[in-house]
Amino acid sequence: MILESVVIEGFRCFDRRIELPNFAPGINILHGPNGVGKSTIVRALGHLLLDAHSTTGQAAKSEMQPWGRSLSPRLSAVFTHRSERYRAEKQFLASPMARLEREEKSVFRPVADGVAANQKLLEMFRAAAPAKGLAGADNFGLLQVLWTTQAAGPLPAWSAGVREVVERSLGAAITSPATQAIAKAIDARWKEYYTPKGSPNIAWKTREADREAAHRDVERIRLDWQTAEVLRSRLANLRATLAAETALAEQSQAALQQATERGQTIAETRQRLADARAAEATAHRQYESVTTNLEACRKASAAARDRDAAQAALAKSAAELQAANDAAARLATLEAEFQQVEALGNYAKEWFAGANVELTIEAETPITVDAIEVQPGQPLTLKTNTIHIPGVARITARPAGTRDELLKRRPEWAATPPDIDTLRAKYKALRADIAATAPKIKEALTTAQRAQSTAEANIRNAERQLTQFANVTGSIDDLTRQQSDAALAFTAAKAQRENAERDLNAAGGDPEPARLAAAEAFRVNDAKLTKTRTETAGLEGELKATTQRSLYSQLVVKEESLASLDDALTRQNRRAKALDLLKRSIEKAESELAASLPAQIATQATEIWRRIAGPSAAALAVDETWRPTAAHVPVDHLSGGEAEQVAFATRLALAKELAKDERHLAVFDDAFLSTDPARVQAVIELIEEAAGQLQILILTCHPERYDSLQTANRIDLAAVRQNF
Amino acid sequence: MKAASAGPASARVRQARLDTAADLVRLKADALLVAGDTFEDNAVDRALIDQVAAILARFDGPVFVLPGNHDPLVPGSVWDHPAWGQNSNITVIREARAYALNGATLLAAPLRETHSRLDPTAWLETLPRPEGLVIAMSHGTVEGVDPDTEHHPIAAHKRQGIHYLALGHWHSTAVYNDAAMAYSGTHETTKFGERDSGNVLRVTIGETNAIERIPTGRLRWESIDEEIRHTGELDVLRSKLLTLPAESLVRIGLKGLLHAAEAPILNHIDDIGRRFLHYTRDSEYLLPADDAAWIETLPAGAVQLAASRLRAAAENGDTTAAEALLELQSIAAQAGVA
Repeated sequence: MILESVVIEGFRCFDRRIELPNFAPGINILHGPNGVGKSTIVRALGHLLLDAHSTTGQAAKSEMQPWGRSLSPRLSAVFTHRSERYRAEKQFLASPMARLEREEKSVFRPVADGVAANQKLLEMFRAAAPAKGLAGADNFGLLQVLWTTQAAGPLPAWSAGVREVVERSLGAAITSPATQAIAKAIDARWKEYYTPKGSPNIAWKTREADREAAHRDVERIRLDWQTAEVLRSRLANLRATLAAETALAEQSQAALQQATERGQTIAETRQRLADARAAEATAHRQYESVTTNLEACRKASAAARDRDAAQAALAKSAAELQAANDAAARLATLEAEFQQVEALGNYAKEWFAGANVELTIEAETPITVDAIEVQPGQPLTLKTNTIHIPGVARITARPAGTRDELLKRRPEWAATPPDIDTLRAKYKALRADIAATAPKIKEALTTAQRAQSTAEANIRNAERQLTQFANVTGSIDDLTRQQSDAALAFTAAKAQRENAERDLNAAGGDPEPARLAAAEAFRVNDAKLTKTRTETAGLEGELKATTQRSLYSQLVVKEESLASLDDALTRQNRRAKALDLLKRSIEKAESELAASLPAQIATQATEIWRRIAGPSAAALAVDETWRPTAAHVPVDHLSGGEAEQVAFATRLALAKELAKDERHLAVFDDAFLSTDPARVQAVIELIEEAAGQLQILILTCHPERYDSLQTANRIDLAAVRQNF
Repeated sequence: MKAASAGPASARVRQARLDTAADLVRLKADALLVAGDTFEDNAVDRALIDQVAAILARFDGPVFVLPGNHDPLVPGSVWDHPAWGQNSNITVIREARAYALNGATLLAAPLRETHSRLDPTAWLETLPRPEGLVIAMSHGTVEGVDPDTEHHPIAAHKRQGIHYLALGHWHSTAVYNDAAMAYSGTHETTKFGERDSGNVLRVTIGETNAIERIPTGRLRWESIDEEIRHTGELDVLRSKLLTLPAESLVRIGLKGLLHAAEAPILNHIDDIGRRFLHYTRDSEYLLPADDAAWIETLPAGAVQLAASRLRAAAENGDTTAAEALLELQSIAAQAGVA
């Protein structure tokens, strides 16, 4: 900063407005007696540049307000900073304001107001605003180095912030505008990728995030695509399995069918066998029946024949018997006749005999015979030839062979009575015949009777048989035909039975275990097949759905995008690394150069110190706090004068470094009170030399000391005050 | 097929393949044989299958399409799409057998898996030869490249009784055994570094075959690797780039020395590159030329010190340092300080 003018009003001893309009760019000596306000000018300038307009509080009032007055300090200054003219103006306490203006085309135009104006001013001096209240030594920035004020003492303890600022500033100071331009360009490119703290910026992080998202997308789609490939492979395998299982199921189904059919066949065969057996049995029974019937029929026929024969025999025997009987009857008749004839003579006897009939009645139930009660078990014998049983019968007994009866039989005897002797002879002959014939006849009769009995028995048998065969219908021929048919049927049924038995034997053993096994095998295979079909259908559906997603096309687009992002990021990362390396290399170089500055400062300060104290003066060193020591003696332990001189030497060395970048205002407010005149002269020479790089403002109440500075701008503050 | 090396131009590259196919089906021939890998995968967009089938259907004659190792005949493959059944002139080879082809016979068998060590032409060895002209089509790698390959190795010998064997799998054109068998390659280049892609072959088949190589690729893929040693060489490269059409994909790899005065040429090369469909420049092995004068021209102090250190690191193989130096060179040139 090169100060041009200052205007102060309502500030400490300047209750009225005062203006110092003409500060020289070189050496300015502001002189006046004690209390005229020399230091107040510098204090006012300090508040204008470093304090916020809004600062309030008793401390601010005490610092700024004229004693006993409630005025609002109003301060302004015109100065040049980095070749631009600025006007800064602030009012404190009541109605605070701040304004910074910059000259543009010969007209001051506002640059910032209020807080912004405060901030811009602080930035110019690399100062930091206090947390609250007025700026302290820690907040003076470069001014802590450049301004030797009475309040600070000859050499204040540099704050860490000052050191950082000075080092930064010296770092900038040791580089040229060209370097700064390059650094700025590097920084601009660097900021394309990094935040101020050196982390990847949002754009970079966004690109990284985009790449990660694209990578995840690719991985996700690739996984789905690979899953689809696995699906295809599984489906191909599953279809092969399905074909095999289908064949197996068909085989087992066929086997089951075969076993079932075999079972059915066997069952049918068994049934057929049973039917055949039944049919055979039926046919056999039928045959037997028919045969029986036939036999019966034959027997019946035979029986009928027998009967017929028997009947014929019977008839014959009956005839024979009849004949025999007739013969016997005739014989008997003849006999009777003989007897009768014989009896004729005995007619009377016979008749008489006949008149002597004795009847014995054995009643079975109580009856009345001729009014006689006859009880069962009490036979009644009557000698009579006639009885009467009322309501039952009248019984007359006559001797057989009566004449009447004879005459009935031999009516011709009526006309011609037989010759008894002839008859007797005839009858004797006949009797002889009969006697001769009678055994034959008797035998014949017996035989006939026997034959008749037999025939009757046979007839009865035959009748019985016929009765037995009463239900037999049909003729023997029919029955024979039926028997033949039944025999054929039986033969056929037997053949079928035998076929069925053969077939059953040929069919093997019980088919059920095999059928059960085949059924189980089919069940298992069919279940597998059903499961495989279901799984296949499911997979096919899944594959179709997956195919519809066009996964590979999606993957292609995503991979291309990812490749593009990867490539861009790789290039970006490479460039970012290169820029970061470049930036850090330059910063490191700056730091190293800056780190070497304390030694340089010490050397320069020593040179200045020796020009003041003599060439044999101990070399100055600068410790880590940038405070000088002389012959290892801290400056606080030097004499007052030497302390002033060492402080001056150090400040001047630092100020010169700062001035390499920009011309600064260095202030020395009665800084050499303890220095002897000879050394003051040396100091003045050094100041005069420094004026080539720095604007110098010397505040003194001994202006005569600086008479050798003939080109200095001298400002008599007392005189100036009088004019306002 | 993906165009992973084409950056943002990938979609354009993929579209070019369809556009070129739509052009080449207008060529006159008795038949069109597509020897496999029509699609890069079976899971491509179904609409793409429709597109490709529609394009092939426009050929004035029979088209035979062979499933390759990227689009094998498997469940859920592209060949299940109904588009293949909608065009009567397109036959997808679904089984190993003979196919009638305008009085000749085509013997072809589809691939059913992505990888295999089996020769997909083995079935031809014992097959009785039909009468007349016999053409075969297969997909795999001709032996001699890697005998243990899983890329369906194909024996390289000429097959008796087969007048021509059309091959698919490789992207560049290659002819064997006096034109008895050949790869047409892809009709569009698919990536940088392909020897001779972007062609189709029109083959006149007879007792001796005549193969006409027809370039069909509409995009130009240019891969340039240069070592810059002397001034002027970058300018030659720039002139070459100026001759390339806008429908180009360009990859440049530079190593060697970049003279400070030629830094603007490099920037101009990048400007030219931005006209192309796709442009990348790798120059991590390009160092600023070892002219100490350049570092001397840099602002004294931290910049010179940093530049010297970066130079030393770059010479020791630190590519980041080399790239940092190139950035510094570019910045210094732009700032007008060196």
